Order: sequence, then structure tokens, then C-alpha cells
Amino acid sequence: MKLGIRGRLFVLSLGVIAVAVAIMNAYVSTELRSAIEERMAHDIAIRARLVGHQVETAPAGTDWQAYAEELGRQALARATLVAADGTVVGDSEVARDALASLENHGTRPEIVGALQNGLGEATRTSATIHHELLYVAVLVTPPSQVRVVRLAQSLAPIDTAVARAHHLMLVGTIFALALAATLTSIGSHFVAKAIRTLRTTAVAMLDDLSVRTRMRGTDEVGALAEALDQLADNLNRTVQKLGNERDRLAGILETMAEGVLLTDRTGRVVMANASLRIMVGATGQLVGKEPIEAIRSDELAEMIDSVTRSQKPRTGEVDLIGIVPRHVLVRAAPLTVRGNLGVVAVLSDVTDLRRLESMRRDFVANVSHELRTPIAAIRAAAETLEGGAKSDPVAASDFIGMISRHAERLHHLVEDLLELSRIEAQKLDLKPTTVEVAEFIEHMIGLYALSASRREVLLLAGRCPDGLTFATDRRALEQILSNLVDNAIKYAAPGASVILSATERGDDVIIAVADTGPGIAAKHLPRLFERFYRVDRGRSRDVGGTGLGLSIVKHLTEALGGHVTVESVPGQGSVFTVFFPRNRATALSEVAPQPRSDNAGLPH
Amino acid sequence: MPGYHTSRDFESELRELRAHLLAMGARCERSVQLSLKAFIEGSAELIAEVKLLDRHIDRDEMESDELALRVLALRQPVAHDLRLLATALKLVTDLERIGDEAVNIAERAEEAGDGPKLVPHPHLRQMADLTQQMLRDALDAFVEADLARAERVRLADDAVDELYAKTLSETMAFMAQNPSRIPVAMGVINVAKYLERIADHATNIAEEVIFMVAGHDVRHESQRAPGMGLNDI
Repeated sequence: MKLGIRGRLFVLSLGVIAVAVAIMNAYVSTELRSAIEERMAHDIAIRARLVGHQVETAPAGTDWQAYAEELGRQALARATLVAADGTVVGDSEVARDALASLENHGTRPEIVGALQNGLGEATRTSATIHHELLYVAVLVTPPSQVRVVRLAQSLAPIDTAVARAHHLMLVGTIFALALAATLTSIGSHFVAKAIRTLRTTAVAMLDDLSVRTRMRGTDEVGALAEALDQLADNLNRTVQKLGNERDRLAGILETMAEGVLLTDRTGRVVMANASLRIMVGATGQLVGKEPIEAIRSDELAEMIDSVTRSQKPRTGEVDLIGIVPRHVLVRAAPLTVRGNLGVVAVLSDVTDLRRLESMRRDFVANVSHELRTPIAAIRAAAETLEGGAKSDPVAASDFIGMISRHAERLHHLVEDLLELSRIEAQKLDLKPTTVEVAEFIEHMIGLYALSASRREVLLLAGRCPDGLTFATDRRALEQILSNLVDNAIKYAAPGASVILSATERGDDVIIAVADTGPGIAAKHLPRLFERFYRVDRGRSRDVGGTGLGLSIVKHLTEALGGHVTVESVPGQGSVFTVFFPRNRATALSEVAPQPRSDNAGLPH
Repeated sequence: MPGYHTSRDFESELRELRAHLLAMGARCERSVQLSLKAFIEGSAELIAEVKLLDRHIDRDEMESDELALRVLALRQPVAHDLRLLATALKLVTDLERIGDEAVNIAERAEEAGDGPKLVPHPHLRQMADLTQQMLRDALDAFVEADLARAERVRLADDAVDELYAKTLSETMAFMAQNPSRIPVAMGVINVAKYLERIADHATNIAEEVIFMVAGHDVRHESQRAPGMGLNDI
């Protein structure tokens, strides 16, 4: 049975009213009736005694019928006068003519009672008037013709009184019911309305946690509303906190340089961040796949698999094949916060790191090798001199020349290394001044005219726009061009020409050193600017190179904000081109933010 | 009830098979990459690694075959599952052959040793890049069930064949002019041949993927009566 709060309250009050009415009914039917009866009996007994006394004083020869009628009137009851033998001698309610036909009353219980005890009572339906009547009889003393006086009163008034009481109660009940219905309706209306509002608000909260009941009160409904609002506040805060936390975590994951891969309990990928997608060159969806499907690396898949099985973290390096092969350091660990949640793998791209490491190893090996050769030569020459060669003037001068040459090479090598480390450490004291390019090229040609003519190389100035100027550090520029021009002259065959030219393109000032030398094979070009990289080891040493010149050119050009390129056709010649941004001032200030007084500047 | 199985077991067996095939594929890709690097740069370490990988790939072939046959025998799969298993059985053969070709390339690198190398031929480099791309795409197509990608692999095969022909004729010309460098040039020709075969295997894989996904056989299409297919499987 489904009843609203109103229905329930109504049924409840109905029940209460029904019980109350039933109890009252019982009371009225029994208690009220018996109380009235008792009172009536008592009253009629008193009247009967009084009438009895009156009869005693009645003179002899009285008309008993008329006397009875008189008594009946006075006592407001039916009065019956009965002789000792039980015959009725007078009755207030019976006509004189009918007296004789009345049966003998001597056997009536009340008469019998009166004759025996002086007082008799009985209740019965009168045969004469067909009413329930209360009879009380008293003995008359001293005895006269009338021996017993009997009074009878109808009990009908009791029934009437009880009936009236019932009627009153019925009206009262109906009124009470109506009142109960109204009151429960009104009361429950307010409660139900409040509850409906609460429900509506609670339902609205499902979608929007900013909704509040805004109901206050000291009663239970008010307290409930307040509790609901507090609950919503709490939920709102928690949701916001969790949301913020999630956003923060997601933000961290998406912006971090490491790739992060998360698998669930079943081993499938549940999360992969942006770095990971870039690292593995992912094009499709990664989530929901097996690790090997997401990232085709058997090594990585095996690692994640082993962590899943052993629940122990593992670290290792794997090669990722792809368009851009990468070497990554993988740290995989089980996620065991509250049970086994899967595996998290963090991938760091160490491709560059490993390359740098190998470059450093190569560099140390190269430097050691470059230093060892002249030192060995110097030692050998010194030992030979000690061993007796010094007594032979011709041999002695040969060996001393050898020592001097190799010492010179060591010197150049150390100088170049120092220079390179200074450039790399950005400890350059760069002072931008305005350089007039045409004049500068003439200056360079002047510097190298002698060595060029010695090697029978034609050193020329090519095209150069008039009045082309830009701001740069002149000494650094001179060093760059010196290295390039010196190289061109050194490697060129006799009869070749070296041409310096300049031009401007957009915001760049471009200076080119072109030669008609032997050229450089294409395979050497990408590594040409690396330290100690030599196209032809023997040839480089012959001409006195340290293997660092082009590396210095590259670093110095970059320190000036520019860059250098090379083009070459074997057998035809090479062109080295340096590009400088015209907006020199900013370029320089970026590289060397403050001039250093402790630096001796650029050595020559 | 021999054919009875809970689908979860079956599902996990298929997943295991797929993972196995892909791990094998990854090793093949790595092996090819390393062998080419060994051929160009010459490194005993790389050559040893390629040989180690090949042993692993051979083991993969047996394991994958066993796994596929066991599933086939015990589960009696139908439709797409059956096609996956049939594809797996063919795929491993192609992958295993690719592993062998990688070893061949590594062996040519070994022969060349540290001696003078022929400047890597531009067409050979292109072939190497394209072949590796084909292999990668073929396996990607398998992962993604991507018909378009598989189709691209088939088309790329013609480009590889073209590059092979060019490399061959140019290297022949080089040999005619430089008889002293014939041994080195022979290495280039051989590697080109191996690459061409790897590309063929990648094409096979792509065709097998098309069969697996779409259910029709695209091999030797020209020799086939129209309308003939294996859709009924």
C-alpha cells in the first residue's frame, strides 16, 4: 500500500478517533446507562416509601382508584395499590372499569419482595403498556386494605438519554474527523511541500552541485535541508579539489619531457602522454592497446610484461625504431597503490645524451691522439740528440728543427683548444663596431696576399655591394675569415683561386669564401665542422692544421648570432658561406650579456 | 566437449598470439635497421647483435606457430578469428625470412670488414629507407587493421623494384670502370637484393593483413578469375 505522508497522517488520526469513539461508546452504553438506572431506582424507591407512608395515613374507605390516580400524578409515576391477596385495588394508569380484569399481582417479583422484605424491585416489560418498566414495591404498615404500594416508571427516558448521547458523539466524531482531515491535510501539506522541495533540490544537485535548498528552520525538515546543503557544499569542495588535482596531474603529465605510459591490470594501455606519443611517433590511438601494439618495441613490451609479473621495478635502455630512431631510458614500476593497478613506464629520450657522451669520448680520444703525435716526435728527436746526434751539426739542426716544428704544432693545438673552450663557455668580450664589408675584405686579402702568392694561389675580392656595413665584433669576424681563407689557400693546388665576396639578402649579411681547390666529398660535409674531423688526416697535418679551425669558425659565427654553411663539388671547389643577421646589436647582447673585464679578449 | 571454451581464455590466447607476432615484428624491424647500420658504418658489435636477434626471431617463429596451431586445434575458431590464425601462420614465415635477410646484410658487412667502403649509393639508401618504412607500415596495418595502409605498402613495392633496378645498373657501370672495387660493389648489389626481398616480404605481410581484415585474397590478382575469394571462411 502506498500512502503519501498526508494519507498516513490521516489514517493515523482516523485510527485514534475510532479508538476514542469506541471507548466512549462503551462507556456511554454501559456506564451511563447503569448510572442513570441506579439513580432512577434510588429515586423511585424513595418516592415509593413516601407514597407508602401516605397510604398508611389514608382514611378507611378511601376510593383507592382515585387515590392511586392522585398518587400517580404526585409521584410522576404509575402507582399501583395492591391488596394483601394480590388483587389490584387502584392503578393510576388503568381505568376503573378495567381494574377487575387485571390479573392477580401477588406473584409479581416486586410484590413478593415487598411482602417478604418490605421492599421489592424488578425490571421487565409491562404486559399492560408494553414498555420496559422499573417496578418498586413497598409494604404498607400497619396493614390496611392496601398491603403493597407499587410505583413503576418507564425506562424509555434512559434509552432516549443514551440515544442523545450517541447522537452527540456521532456529531462530535464527524466533527473530529473533519477537523483531523483538515489539520492533517494542512500539516502534512507543509511537511510534504518541504520534502518535495528538498527532493527537487536533491535531484537538481545531481546535475549541478551549486544548487542549494535555501530552507532554514529549527524543525526536522529545516535540519534536513541544512544537512543537504552542507552535503552539497562538501561534495562541491571535494569535486573541485579532485578536479583541480586531476587537472594539475594531467597538466604535469602533458607538459613533462618524459614519456609516460600507464597500463592497467590486464596489461592494456590506459594512458599515454603527449611526450610519449611524440617519442614513439604514434599516429593512432594508444589507449586500449597492448603495449606492443602501441609501441612496437619488443624490449619495452618485455620490460612492462616482466614488471607486471614480478611486481618489481625495472630500469633499462631500449632502442625505438621509427622514422626517427631514438634511444630511451625506461623506468617501469608497478602501480601498487591500493592493490595492483598496473604498470607505469617513464621513458626519457637519451638519444642526445648518449650522442654527447660518445662525442666527449671521441673528443678526449682525439685530443690525446693529437697531443701524443707531436710529443712522441719531440721525445724521439730529443733522445736521438742525446744519443749522439748533437755532435753531428747537420743532423742536430734537423732534429732541432723537428722539435721546434712539433712544439709549434702543440702550441697551435693548445691555443685552438683554449680558444674553442672560451667560445663555448661564452666568455668572449665581443664589442660590436661598424664594419665596412668592402674595406674588410680588402684588409683580409692584404693579410693573406703573401701566403697566397707563396703557394701560387690567386686571392681575389669578388662582388661586394658598395657601402655595405654592419655592426659586429671585428676581431671575431677577422678570426672567422682568417680560418676560412687560410684553409682555402692551404688546401688549394697551385694555380687555384680563392675569391672573397659579400652580399646582402633580407636581414642577412653574407660573406663567402669560394675556392677552386680539390673540393670535399659529400659524405664529409655533415661532419666537417666537428672538432678534429679531418677529410684527409695526412694532408691536414702536412699543411699544419689542428683539426679545430672549422670548429672555431662554426662556434664563433654562432657567438656572433650567425651561422655557417658549406657547399662543395669534388674536383671543382668549395664555398664556405657565413651569414650574419644585420640586427647585430641584439644578436650580440644575447650572446654576451655583459663585457667581462677579466677576459683578455680574442687572442690572435 | 572438445570445442568448448570460455571466451575469455580464447580471447587472451588471441591477444597473446598478437603480442607475440608484434614482438617478433619489432625484432625484425630492429634487426633490419641494425644490419643496415652495420653495413654502412661497419661494427662488429652490431653484426653480433643482428645474429643474436635472428636466433630470437627463429625461436619466435616456432613459438608463434605452436601457439597458433594449438588455438586452431583446441578452439576451432571461425570467421575473423580463423583468418587471424591463418594470417599468423603465414606472417611468421615472412617475418622469419626478413630476419634471415637481415643476417645476410650483416654478413656482407662482416665481409667488407673495416676495408674501404663504397660510398653508400643514394639509391641504396632510398631503398633502405623505403623498405624499412614498408615493413613498419605493414606491421602498423596489422595493429590497426588498416586496409589503406596495407594498400600503400603494396604500392610502395613497385618503387622498391625500380630503385633496385637503378642500383643494379649503376653499380654494374661502376664495376666496369673500377674492376679493383668489384668485391665492394658486389656487396652493394647483394644488399640491394636482400632489401628487395625484405620489401617483398613486407608486401606479403600487407596482403595477409588485407585478407585478415577484409577476408579476400589479393595475392596474384591478375591470375585469378574475377569473383573468386575466400569470403566463405
